[in-house]
Amino acid sequence: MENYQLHWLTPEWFILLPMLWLYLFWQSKKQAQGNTQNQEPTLALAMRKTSSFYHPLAELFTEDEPQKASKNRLSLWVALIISSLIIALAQPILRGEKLPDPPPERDIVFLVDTSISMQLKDYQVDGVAISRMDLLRQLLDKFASRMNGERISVIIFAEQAYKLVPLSNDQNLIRKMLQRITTSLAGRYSDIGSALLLALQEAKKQELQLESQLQSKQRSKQRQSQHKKRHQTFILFSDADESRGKVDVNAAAALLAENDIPLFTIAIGGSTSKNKETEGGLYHSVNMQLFDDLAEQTSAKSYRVENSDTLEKAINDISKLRKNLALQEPQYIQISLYFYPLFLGLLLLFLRQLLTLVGNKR
Amino acid sequence: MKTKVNLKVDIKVGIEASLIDSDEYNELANQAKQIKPTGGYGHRLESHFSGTLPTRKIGSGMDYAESRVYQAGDDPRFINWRLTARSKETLVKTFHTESSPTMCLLMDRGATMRFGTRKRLKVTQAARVATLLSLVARQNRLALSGLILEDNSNSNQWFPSSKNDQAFNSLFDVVSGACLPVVSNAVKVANKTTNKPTDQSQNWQLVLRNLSDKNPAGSLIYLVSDFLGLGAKHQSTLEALQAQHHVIAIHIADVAEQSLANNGTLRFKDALSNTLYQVESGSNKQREKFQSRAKNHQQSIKQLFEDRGIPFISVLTTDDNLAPIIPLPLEAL
Repeated sequence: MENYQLHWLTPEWFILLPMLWLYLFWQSKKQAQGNTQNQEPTLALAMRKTSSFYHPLAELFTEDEPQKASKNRLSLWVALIISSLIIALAQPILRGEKLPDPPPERDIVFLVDTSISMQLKDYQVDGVAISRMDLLRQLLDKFASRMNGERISVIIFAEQAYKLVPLSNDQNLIRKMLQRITTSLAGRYSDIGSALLLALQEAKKQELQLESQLQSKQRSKQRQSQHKKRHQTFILFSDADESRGKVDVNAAAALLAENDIPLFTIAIGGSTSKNKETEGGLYHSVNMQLFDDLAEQTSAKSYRVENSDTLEKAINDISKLRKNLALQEPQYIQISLYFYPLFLGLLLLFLRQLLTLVGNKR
Repeated sequence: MKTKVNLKVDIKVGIEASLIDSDEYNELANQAKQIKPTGGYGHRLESHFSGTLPTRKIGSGMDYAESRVYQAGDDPRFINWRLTARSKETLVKTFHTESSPTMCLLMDRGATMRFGTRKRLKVTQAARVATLLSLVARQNRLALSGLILEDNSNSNQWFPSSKNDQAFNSLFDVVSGACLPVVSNAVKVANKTTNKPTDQSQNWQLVLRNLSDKNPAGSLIYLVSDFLGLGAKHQSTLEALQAQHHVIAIHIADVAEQSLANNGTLRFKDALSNTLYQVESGSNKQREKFQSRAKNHQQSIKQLFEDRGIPFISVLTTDDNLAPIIPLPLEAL
């Protein structure tokens, strides 16, 4: 117990204490004035005291000294009871050692292409041809499971871009949501530029929310600056040969670079249509040049899914990125003490009622 | 004897209504018939010249009382010749004096009388007593005078001794007139009213002297009030009044002036000084203390009158039948 110190969780309640004592002081003054003989009350007082009654023998109620003393005692009782309750509301605690902070984390945004071309069966697993989307789902699941402890968000895109999962530590949720991704979920063709813009907007929103939270909690300046610079990492999973849409993909990448957000690109699909099943559609190959350019613009790397090494490489590179401090208040070992003043207040109240009852029966 | 009733029908309601309505008046008229003068006289004279009421006093009159031995200075016209012849002593006839006494009513309509917690206000009960007594006065052919005591001595009203119906009606109108609630001093100041109440002690002094001076000697004076403001300093004035007249004090009280009901914390305002008092009526101790103080207060008022030989009668606001309570001691006149 030597290292424990007394702290108050909500010390703002203490502002009521001087107000209470001032009120009681004012009340006692007012009563003293009210008992003064031959004093004409003001009109305001006369209007306020509507609950008083005329009594011809009212002067017989004049209090003697012991009764005045009992009135003072009553004020003291009330003051003690309310003071005890205010102390309980201020939540006194004994604070001990600081608990270790949770491990730092990264904010990773998956940008998943769901265009119609993702149903092309480019890959073979154990001799069975599987679509790009099936491969991508497996890849994402492994990615997410390897990224345990990181905060992951999922944005799907094709003609439109939508946020499927906001930034979350919940692995189960993320993996289940990833399994729900199907082709054509957001349109037919890929608009990478819109997806990058949406992801950037979300990152900015997060930044603003964090800033307002930090201001409201009034953390230390050092801690504020640490949290303010939370880094995000975007990982683009796509098979696009070109970005169609209103937003220029290079301009979007430039914006990311401006905001110091690396964009890792993971290309899915083959480069030629040789021996590929097109499911009756037109085959289009992945444009690696586009992916390389985007990654280069944002000081990141691009990969092409060819074998299991691709995943390892990408994870290794992403793991080298700087982590952010966990969004959590510092935790301490603490013992609550509020029930002591609360019990004292209730005990005083009980005693007061008991004494009143006994006094009335006399 | 029929009593001529010329009662105005008051259609006002609420606080502006008369204290006594026509039903109440008729009830009081019935009660008045039950009040008989104490003393038991043989008969009442019908003559209006020398006096309407026979008395036990010996003096000039037409009602033979007895014969006694002649003394120097007796009028020889009243020698009882028959008895003188039989007794061989000179005897003279004596007669009961016939008088025309005055009944005077003092009714208090001050601020402290505008209070009541059961059935009626104290001022209403006082108006009932005054009306009953004025009806009794008419029944017994007594001249009636009245003095209405208000908070302000300038507002006191004097009704000279008279036997006619018009004077009776005028007095009744004032006695039973509406009695508005007490207005606090603060409100009076706000209304720029300069009619401030007179000190009750001074007012009583003034009123007692007026009663003594303005009534013919030997009048029967009823003081109907709660006697708040009357104290030791009025002892000599009361003695002087009782020496000249026959005074009866009728004390009007409310139950709440004798004991306090258990109603939790109460705030009372003094009707005269407007001082506020807070009382814990839930406390047995407080209630007992008030009861004891109220008893002492009433005892001191009673003592004040009885020490001067003035009968003291206490009437509660809850008393409906006043006939058995109110005395009419005409034998004392």
